[in-house]
Amino acid sequence: MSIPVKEREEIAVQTPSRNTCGRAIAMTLANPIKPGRSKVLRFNFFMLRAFPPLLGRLRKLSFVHFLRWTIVSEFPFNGPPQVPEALGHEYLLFVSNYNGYWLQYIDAFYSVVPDQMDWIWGNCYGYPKGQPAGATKRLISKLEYTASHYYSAYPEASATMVQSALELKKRFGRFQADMRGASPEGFEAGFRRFVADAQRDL
Amino acid sequence: MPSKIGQAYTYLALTAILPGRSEELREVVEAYPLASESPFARVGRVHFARWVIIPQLVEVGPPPEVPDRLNNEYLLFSTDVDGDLEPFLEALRTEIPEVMDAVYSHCVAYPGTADRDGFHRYFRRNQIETTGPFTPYPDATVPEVREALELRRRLIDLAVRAQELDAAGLQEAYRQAFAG
Repeated sequence: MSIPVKEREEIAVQTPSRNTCGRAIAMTLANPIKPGRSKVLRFNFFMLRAFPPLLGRLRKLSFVHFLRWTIVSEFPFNGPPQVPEALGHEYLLFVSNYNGYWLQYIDAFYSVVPDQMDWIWGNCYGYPKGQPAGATKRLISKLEYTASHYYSAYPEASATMVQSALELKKRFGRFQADMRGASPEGFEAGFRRFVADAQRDL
Repeated sequence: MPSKIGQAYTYLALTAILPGRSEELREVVEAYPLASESPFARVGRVHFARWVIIPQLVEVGPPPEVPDRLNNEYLLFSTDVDGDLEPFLEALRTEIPEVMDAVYSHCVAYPGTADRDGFHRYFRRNQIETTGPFTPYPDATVPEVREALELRRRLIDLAVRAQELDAAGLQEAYRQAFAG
């Protein structure tokens, strides 16, 4: 399934092409963590994992495929000629795979999970807590790294399409079982019911 | 184990690039074809993957932050895969050895794919454990996602055609589409 030209053009305007693979877009950020705050961050992530309803709100961000936050306490050292790092901060890496428009992506984070954004990026330097989303967009555009290679196994699909397809597959299994041995008229009625019930996922 | 979410594993590594080799590395990595021609497509179990060259940390200001400066450039490798880490590393080593060697020969202390144990040790040593992973479909493998997307495509097609078919024609079209 091809992506509408208009959508491709808008993605291209807002996102370096190397950060895209079909509909999928890569975001890679590294924020310095304020001194002493990595323990707070680890606790907050523990809470988000321990109480799924908190993280569950992220499901409303329907255009996220996979994302992760990673605290980098130190850079792995492999011996010379690598020079050991002597950094003054730990770093929070944010690595996301999403689809849609960059600006909408940031706006959605602000509107759906504002508390979680504060709990996480509020522990980092530069996060404009309590300020309009525009300040965060400016920060992110400054912090974002461009991928040299980016891959998606299903570039034609948005995250919503993937979730709909998986839901549809479950429903379809039940439909197939129900329709075994059905007459043509019975099948037609059953198929129309199935389509009506599954409309949201088609 | 925070790197694990559902059946999936979220792997991230930061490997130091050999001094003066980052531009050559960039040329190698950027020359690989994308999408279904990407080397990662041959690994099979990869949902998403990226290589990002980190030349330096970005200063965010304002004070009191004292900017950090990296002493090395790094290659970030981030991927979301089916299953566990060890089978994935072994798949990288055996399915795309020429790619892994071409890329990581630009990094410090890379042992090469011919050294099985060294290869696994290298990618475990340079791994940064994920702190907070998220995906709305943690239990779906790559083949399951692709199968579901294909099923959805065929169902949409049949639903559109159904408007012009009588009952017997619809049932026959369904049988042809789904071997039912």
